[in-house]
Amino acid sequence: MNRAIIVTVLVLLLGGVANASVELNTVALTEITTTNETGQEVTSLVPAGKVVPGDEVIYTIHFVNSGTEPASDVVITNPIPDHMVFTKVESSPDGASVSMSADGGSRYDSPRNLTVEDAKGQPRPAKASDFTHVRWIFQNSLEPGAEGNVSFRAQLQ
Amino acid sequence: MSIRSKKNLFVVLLAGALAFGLSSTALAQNTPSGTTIGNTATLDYVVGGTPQAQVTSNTASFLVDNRVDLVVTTIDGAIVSVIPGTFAQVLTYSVTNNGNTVQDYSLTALDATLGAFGQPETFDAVNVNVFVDDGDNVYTVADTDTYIDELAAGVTITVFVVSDIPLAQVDGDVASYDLMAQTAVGGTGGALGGDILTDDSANADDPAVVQIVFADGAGVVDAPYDGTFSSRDGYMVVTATLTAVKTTNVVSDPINNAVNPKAIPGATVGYQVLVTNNGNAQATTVEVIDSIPTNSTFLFGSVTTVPVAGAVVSYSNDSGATWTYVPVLGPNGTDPAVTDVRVVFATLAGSGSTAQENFRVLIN
Repeated sequence: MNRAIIVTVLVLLLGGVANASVELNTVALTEITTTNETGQEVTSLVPAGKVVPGDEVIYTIHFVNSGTEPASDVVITNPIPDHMVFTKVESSPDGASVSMSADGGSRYDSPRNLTVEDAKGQPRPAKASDFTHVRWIFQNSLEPGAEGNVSFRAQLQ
Repeated sequence: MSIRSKKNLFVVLLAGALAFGLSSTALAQNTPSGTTIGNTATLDYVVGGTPQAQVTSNTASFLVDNRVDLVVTTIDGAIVSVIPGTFAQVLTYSVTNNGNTVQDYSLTALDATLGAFGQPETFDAVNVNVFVDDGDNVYTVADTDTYIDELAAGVTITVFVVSDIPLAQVDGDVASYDLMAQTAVGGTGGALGGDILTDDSANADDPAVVQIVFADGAGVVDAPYDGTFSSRDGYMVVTATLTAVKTTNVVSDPINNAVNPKAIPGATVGYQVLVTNNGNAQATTVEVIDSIPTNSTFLFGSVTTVPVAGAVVSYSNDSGATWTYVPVLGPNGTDPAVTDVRVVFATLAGSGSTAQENFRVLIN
């Protein structure tokens, strides 16, 4: 009896490891504007190679469920890199909600609910430059083979 | 099959709602070039009710490139007034490194033919040099650096164009100079790095190399995005231009008295010297010396001046060798000992201002 339970648990664990693995890949992109053959300006995204203060970088995080089991309760968390100021969320999957942290990741909430202390120690609404983390909370589970992107923009200080 | 998360979910936020506050995000600082900016995301998930090990993404990195940005501005509020024949006259500019990298700057004073502050150029100064201020914002002989060495990001330094004004220049002459600062490679103190003449806009982006991006604006004689900036300042010669006009009139004679008097022996004659300054500069210590004409005798107490204030009258009894003689009242109201009269006006403003000396004599 006990032995059977242990085996079952082992199988479940092995199954979880082997059959549901989600992979994550992030790239930093910048927008460039070029003029095409018909004279129209075209904006395209290229890997962030030439970045100087004031430039905006689009961080795109690609996720894929490469396992065989659905992944639920998916949460992607991205700390805002040093020297970067969050400007906005660029894209979110359907059914995902976005929350932010302004305290190094201790508390996540809707931006309008976040406060930081001002110079006098009084709470004031958090600004974009106060955000330390951006988080996507998936409402839908990720089926095997499903993939997508989340992305946000940040400006180099 | 979709599984509802058990977590407490927020209302899905519009991306636009997250952008609030962006407009108030000023560039708090310029991230130094060469800084590595890396981004890593993590993912948590659950399979079959069992939380799985957190997944960490790769780190997407790039090096912050060199944003070359500078501004040169003259900090003289108006064209600089100079006097002919003066040395080391100073035009003052500021050079600001608005980039994110320590830079050197080579400096050149370019002769501007179009003039400064709306004044057309009419001459060139001589011995024109550029010197970098040593920190006191005043040009002194201690300011000897001819290029800007190791100017940190966000820092402003004062630069002087110093030149001599030829003695031959006349009132209203204008000479203009553009201070041109050219961004040069920094990092080595005590030596001017090479000029940065082109940026990396023609080269492929490389996240692993600090590339150069020109971000400067256009100065008075340079283009935007060229790593240079220029600003114009100028000298205007201001000098006093004095003219003196002497007039005479017969005041009275012994026969006709004051009615149509004639210049006969015993007549009283007045002399007036009118000095006009038509220059733009105030003249100081304007000296008018007049000799008592032959065959006439100075009338005691007859000297008057316009204006009275600031005019000092003195007398000579030795044809101008000394000016310490004190007149005394002699025969017929004269003092025959007075040979010369001198009036010194302390100041005479420009733009047509006048000063006048009057005295009277008795014809022998």
